[in-house]
Amino acid sequence: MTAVHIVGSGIHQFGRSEGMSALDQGVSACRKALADAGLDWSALQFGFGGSRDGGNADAVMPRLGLTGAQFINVANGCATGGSALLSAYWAIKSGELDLGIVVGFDKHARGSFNPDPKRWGLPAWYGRTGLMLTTQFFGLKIQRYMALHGIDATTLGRVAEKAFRNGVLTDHAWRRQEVPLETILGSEMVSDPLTKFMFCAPSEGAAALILASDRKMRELGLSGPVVRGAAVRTRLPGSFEVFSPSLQVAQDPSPTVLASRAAYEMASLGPEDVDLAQLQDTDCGAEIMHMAENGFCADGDQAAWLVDGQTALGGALPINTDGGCLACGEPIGASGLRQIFENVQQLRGRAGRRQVADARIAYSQVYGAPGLSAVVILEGQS
Amino acid sequence: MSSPMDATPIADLYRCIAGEVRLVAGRRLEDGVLVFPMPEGPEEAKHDLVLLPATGTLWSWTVQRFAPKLPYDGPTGDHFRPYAVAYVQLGDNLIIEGRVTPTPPPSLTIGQPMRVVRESYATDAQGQPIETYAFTPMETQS
Repeated sequence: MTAVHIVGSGIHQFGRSEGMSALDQGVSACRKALADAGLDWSALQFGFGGSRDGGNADAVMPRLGLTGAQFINVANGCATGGSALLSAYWAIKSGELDLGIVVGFDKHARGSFNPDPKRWGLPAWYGRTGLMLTTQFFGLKIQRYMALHGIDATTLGRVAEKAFRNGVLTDHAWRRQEVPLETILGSEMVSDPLTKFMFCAPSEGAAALILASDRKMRELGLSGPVVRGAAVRTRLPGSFEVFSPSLQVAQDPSPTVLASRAAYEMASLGPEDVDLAQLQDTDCGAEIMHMAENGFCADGDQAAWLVDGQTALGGALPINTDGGCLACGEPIGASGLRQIFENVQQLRGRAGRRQVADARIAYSQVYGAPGLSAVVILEGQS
Repeated sequence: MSSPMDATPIADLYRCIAGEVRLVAGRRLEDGVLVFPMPEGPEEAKHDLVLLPATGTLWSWTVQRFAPKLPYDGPTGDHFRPYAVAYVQLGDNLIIEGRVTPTPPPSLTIGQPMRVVRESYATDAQGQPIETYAFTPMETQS
């Protein structure tokens, strides 16, 4: 089977782009990725893309060129971007195709999401009585985790403090100002124990990546990080997932644990080999739990890791080097691809003031409702 | 009970028996796994109806501090009051999510005993209360 490389990457500013539709932003990211690889749109054999609120991803085609290439729209909640990338990876790895693009873009209304219970196979009363909010789930999940593993609110606050600090160094980030720990801890409580600054917000943005087979990359004289492992997994009956009117007492490992193990196995690597990681941080609790679920530390060790700055830039394992969802916001279709865009910049030594020295193995994990996780492990080409 | 007798239940989610509120769950015939709520439509026939215990222990909790958007149909704007949301373990196998009464939210600690009650969380277009199930700390029950 052929190796799969990321030979081009582009991002459109996350946050708010007044006067630009989600589609405009998606087209912008595609053009940047093409320019990065020095390729014409007409060279691409295929595309995979997704957007939750920005329309059909294949609407980029009339703008970029109706070349007859195949394009498949992907919809997988917050894991849409990760799932689009996986689809492209499998297409090339299978030997069927050589060169294609993945794109994700979105533009959400302000405030929380308001999902329709029917679309999730849930009864109407669940939404009507005010139980169907992702923010509640994040609060419920970390509240239990904190009680079981001795994590305190200050540890939650340190995750956000780090995210905003990294955001200052990131051109594509939305929040670009440091926020003091006391401000984070003292800000308005949204869903206990999570305060306003401990949540990411729905935002806007777009990202695109160009993937090529090893053969095609060489033929075109291009280069780029290789995909060492990539896996997406869904939930088991006993996992604690969003939008669950009931849970089983007998708990199963989360889909993140399953996807992480599968990706490590595919890569013949372990957590100790990883130089930096982008972990889904819709809220501070998510980053803390994902540190353990992806194998980087034991449950409960996060408090000491954060005090010691292990996950900060310059630490042993920098996490969310571009500020993650907390600093970039979460345009659902684009968010998972932003993580991989950031890893590509780090592995190519283009991350400027947030560059992780000697980065070789970069890890990303995106989690989506109603319980799936996608993990991608990249290796830089020296 | 925190509900007037003429409140309309939002759905067939509970039975009031001997002064207790018992949630209606389904037990899958195939493997005995419990699920709440009782499935509807073609799935219903594959389940036995089971009434869950009226008391249990708090498994996790949070507080909803802003008024949700639609399809939430409870009080909003100046009428909104933050409400706690909890998972409560009822019996050996199942943990149920629900609102917590009273509001403003009582102080909650994982592991504390909780009771299932009825709560009027909204009123319909005719001003008639709409009732659902909720949990309440057992200490506050008279």
